[in-house]
Amino acid sequence: MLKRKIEIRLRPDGEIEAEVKGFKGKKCTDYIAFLEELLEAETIDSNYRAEYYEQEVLLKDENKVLESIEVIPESILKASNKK
Amino acid sequence: MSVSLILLPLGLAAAGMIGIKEVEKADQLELEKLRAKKQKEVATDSIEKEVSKPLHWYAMETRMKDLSMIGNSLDNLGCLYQSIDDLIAFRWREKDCFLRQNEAGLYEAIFNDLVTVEVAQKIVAEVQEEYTKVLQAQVYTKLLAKAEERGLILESEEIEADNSVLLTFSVQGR
Repeated sequence: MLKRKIEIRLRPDGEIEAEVKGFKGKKCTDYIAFLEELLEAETIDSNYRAEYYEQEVLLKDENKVLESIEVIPESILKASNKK
Repeated sequence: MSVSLILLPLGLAAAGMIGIKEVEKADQLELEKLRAKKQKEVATDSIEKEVSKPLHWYAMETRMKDLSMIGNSLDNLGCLYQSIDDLIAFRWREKDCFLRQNEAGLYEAIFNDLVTVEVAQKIVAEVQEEYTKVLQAQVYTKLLAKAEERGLILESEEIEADNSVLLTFSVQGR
């Protein structure tokens, strides 16, 4: 499992860049509200990277992460099918 | 990397074109009275002393939203200022400037036509540049004060060439 990190760059023009690393799937989206509250700021732009479209597969009994599978959102699938 | 964000602190408005607009008539009269009063008290500018006719006033929107940070910025610039009703009056580059918060929560810089638009833009840019530095320092202090209790452990800190501060945190127990 990747090490989970958050990089925060405080720019001299007052704006803030943040990168949430090592999370998969919707978990990283939870960090948007977390960072907004922590930094007393609002998000004006966001970019999702490949790992966002991966999901953690949990084994119910052991609650452990077994593997990651890539889940491509329906909207992207539809767009690629049209081509 | 999963998500990258750009965030705007609550004390700062988004960057955009700096619009210039005429100050409303009632406010023009109020500013004229203030100018006349100031001239009697501490007239130092020989040109302004000579001008007795009413001046035309115009306003320029800034990105600044926080009064205390504006105060800190003017202090850092070594600029004396005073609050008069809802105005902050200060003198910079030998020109009288006023700041007032508009309905949208942004501070507008107000100048009379003894100050050219070019000089006014320079003044606004300088005050605003100091303001964003004050804001950067405040965000840094608050972030470090809150991070650990929110499960973020500071791993590294780096000052970059453009004076950005890069902080890397490891995430614990979330």
